[in-house]
Amino acid sequence: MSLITYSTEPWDEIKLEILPLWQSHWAEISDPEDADYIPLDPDWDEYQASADCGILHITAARSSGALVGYAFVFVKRGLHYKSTLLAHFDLYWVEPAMRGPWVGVRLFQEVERAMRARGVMKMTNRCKTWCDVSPIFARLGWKQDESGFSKFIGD
Amino acid sequence: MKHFTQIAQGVDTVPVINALANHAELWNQNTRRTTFDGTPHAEVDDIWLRFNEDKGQFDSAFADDLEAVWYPAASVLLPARQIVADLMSRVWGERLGRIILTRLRPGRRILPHKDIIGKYASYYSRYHVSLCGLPGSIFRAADETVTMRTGDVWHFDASAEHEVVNNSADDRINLLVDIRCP
Repeated sequence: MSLITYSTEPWDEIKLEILPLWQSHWAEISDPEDADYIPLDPDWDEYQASADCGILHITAARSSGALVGYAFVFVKRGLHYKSTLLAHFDLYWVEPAMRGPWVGVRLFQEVERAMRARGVMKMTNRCKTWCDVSPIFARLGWKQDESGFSKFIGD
Repeated sequence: MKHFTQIAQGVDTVPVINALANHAELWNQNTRRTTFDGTPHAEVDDIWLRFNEDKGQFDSAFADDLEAVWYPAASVLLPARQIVADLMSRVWGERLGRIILTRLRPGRRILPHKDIIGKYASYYSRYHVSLCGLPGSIFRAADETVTMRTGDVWHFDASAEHEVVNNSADDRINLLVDIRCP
């Protein structure tokens, strides 16, 4: 099993490496019913803007220097909870070959550590029904408090 | 952050790296830090540029000795001394303590430990100049972690338990500089 380390990393470095992983990520978890209509097309400028104003947090997982996983989190005050700092997961993923019993757990633990250090009060996250990682959430003390729905109307 | 404070970026490290490439024989001429029983630095390579004068006694008096002298390697690795001089100026340093070049190969680690905060560590502040640092090189102190990138300079509080894991693709080479600051 390869050594994997987890740490906060800046967007300006991650952006140089992230696209191949995002492509694999998208291939694995995109909705098969609309993937032909909704291609992967990251808004690099928006990510840059979020990083520049400190909203974007990235925890990277690396093995021998190579990026093998990540969690992207937006940290900001809630529209309805202005006095409360919230963390909303944008996306998370680990290369299939690097997945092990504790990899996802440790990735989320490192995010949680960083969020606590920033004063975040609550984190929110989600997972695809066809790529269920809820056992990891349960192990880490998360609770399910919402169900997500989507409807493709672009046909 | 409580234990790490970044004080500079973009230091030109190439002259030192070049000097090291031309003088590989300097590594591990002084191994006291890396070979004593239970050392957390067993996987590290060192070059001592400035340290307590070696009188053959390595006891608590040696550890607490505030006076440091230049070692022969400092006459060879002159670009490192330039970095130290610039750092002294930047932090308004009043006195220069020990200076060590330390290398951690990929896949190696410095085990968790706390530095003994005796007379010496209470007197000097510890600075790290990263001469080679890539993503995946993790420096943890208590609940904080940083990756010191090439050219970064950090003040580091060694009183907390700390460890290093070099999970990057290249050596981690740091210049450790102890400076008495106002």
